[in-house]
Amino acid sequence: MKSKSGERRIVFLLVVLCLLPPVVMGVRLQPAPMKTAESTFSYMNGLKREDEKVVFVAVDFGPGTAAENKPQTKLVIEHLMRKRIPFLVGTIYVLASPFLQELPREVAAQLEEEMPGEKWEYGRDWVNVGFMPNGLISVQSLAKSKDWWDYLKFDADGNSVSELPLMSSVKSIKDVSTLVQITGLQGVFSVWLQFFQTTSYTPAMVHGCTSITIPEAYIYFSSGQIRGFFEGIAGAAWYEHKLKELYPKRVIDSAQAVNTGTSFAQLLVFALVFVGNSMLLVRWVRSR
Amino acid sequence: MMRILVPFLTFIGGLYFFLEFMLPEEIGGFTFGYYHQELSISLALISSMAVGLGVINLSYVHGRILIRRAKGSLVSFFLLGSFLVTFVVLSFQWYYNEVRQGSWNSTLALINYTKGEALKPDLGDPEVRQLETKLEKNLELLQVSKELPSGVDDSEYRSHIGELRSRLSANRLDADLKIRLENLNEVVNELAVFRLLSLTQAKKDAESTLLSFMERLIVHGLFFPLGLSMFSLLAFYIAYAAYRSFRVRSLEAAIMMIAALVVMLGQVPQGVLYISSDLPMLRLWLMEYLSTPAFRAIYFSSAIAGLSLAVRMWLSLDKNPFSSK
Repeated sequence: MKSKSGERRIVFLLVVLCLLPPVVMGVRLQPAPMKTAESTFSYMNGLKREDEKVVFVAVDFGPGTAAENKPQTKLVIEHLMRKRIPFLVGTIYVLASPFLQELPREVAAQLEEEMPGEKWEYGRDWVNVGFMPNGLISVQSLAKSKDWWDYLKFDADGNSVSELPLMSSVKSIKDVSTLVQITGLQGVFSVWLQFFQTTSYTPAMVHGCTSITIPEAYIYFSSGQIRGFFEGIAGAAWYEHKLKELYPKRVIDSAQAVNTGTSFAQLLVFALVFVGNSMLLVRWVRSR
Repeated sequence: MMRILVPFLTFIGGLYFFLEFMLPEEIGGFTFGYYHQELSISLALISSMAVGLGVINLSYVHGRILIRRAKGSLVSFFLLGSFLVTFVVLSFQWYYNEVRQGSWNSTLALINYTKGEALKPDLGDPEVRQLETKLEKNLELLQVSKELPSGVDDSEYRSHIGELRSRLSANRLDADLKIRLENLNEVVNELAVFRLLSLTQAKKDAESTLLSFMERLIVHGLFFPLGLSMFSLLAFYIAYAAYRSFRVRSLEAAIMMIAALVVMLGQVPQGVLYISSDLPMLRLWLMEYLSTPAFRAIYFSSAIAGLSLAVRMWLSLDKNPFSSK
């Protein structure tokens, strides 16, 4: 019993040691290329402001999966802000509400620091439509509504949607060019995929998922239903790398830091599997 | 009565959503989902009752433990205590936010009215002129108003409104109706942005209050880090489970292990840097041609299972919740 407890402590210590280089020493490794993130990047980079359409960023994650989903969301928002493409943020997951407030403001502040004189304003560059209760029904109703001013009525701050300058040209799903849906929850993306459309119009879709839900996302990617997706933090790190290539002044943010830490931890997991099995083999040979 | 009513309402509800999804938008001039928006809002209202039910249930279960001083009463105390503190703090935050918003109500009404009118089709010269006059008069009223809305200082507020007034009057003599209408919309949009920026400023000013500090402490200082910690603990347990439990005892397990190794090495930086630059391609092939078809099959079968479950619920074939058995 004591040896088991000792083993556990050693393993836990090894995990901590693996996570130290990126967290404490600031080690960052260049991420592995990802075809899916590459597709996401080229699609997002091809969006134009002149289309007079907005991008809807559905932020459906809570603190539990924020380590992977938050960098993805920040990258998408940053890319949209840099290209001056207006966007809406909303969610059907109640725990995501604080992120809707916090992330665009955080990115705007970061960009304003990088580019003195430039401004990104709430209401003109982005709008937070807040939490929409009733998941599936909300998504379906939002897609079906021909008058979002009447359906949404207020933004998350209680402002009337119709008074927001950005919303003056946004009345229905037809004014949304792209849906970017980011979640760590199983089955949530399929709700948006199935119901955020009408018989005559389907916006382009991009998805951000955690490592656990990658196989689900591949189904939609290979069938062409989504333009691209972030394969967990590794996908976000590659997207960040591409963004850095395009905007060299940009400061490397959290995606590559988390990705480096995760990669060390993953290698440790495999090393532990190898050690565990080697010990089993040794025991088996000895017993014969 | 309930035994009949509940299955009946369940069936009608299911039938409506089934038909609403399946039928075309219009059938001979009849729109089946005409009241869909209202219906979905009412459903949201019904779901919000669950919040009340949750509160009653929590208070009942944990209140009883606390009163009886039964086992776990300390946990119940913390649960009810943190619930109450969170409720009070967030309610007050909401109330003050409403007060801040309320101070801008007259401006908001002006913005909404002008925007609504300006959007009307076939606006002629007299209508636009009337709209301009109304907007100018109201801007004047706002400018001289004694009560200041939240987030502005006196001189800044009055000079900004004055500036908007002069921008409006400058273009009023323009002969082109389109230009005047554009100018009118620009002035209203500017007013809306000014209101939003001032409200943001008011919010920022309020951040130094104790209430705001409490809110940040609860949401960003406790709730989020605790949630993150719960999940980050998984990293430690996965590592330990990998060492203790992942045993390659069969051919299938060996194949799975090799596939997992390739997928992992294909996505970590070290795989490309130190082993082979082809690893990401190999990983992609595994994901696209082996994993995806398998997952698709799993999804199809789970969808069929889901469908049969849905039909059972729709036709109330499952155990009746009101049954005494």
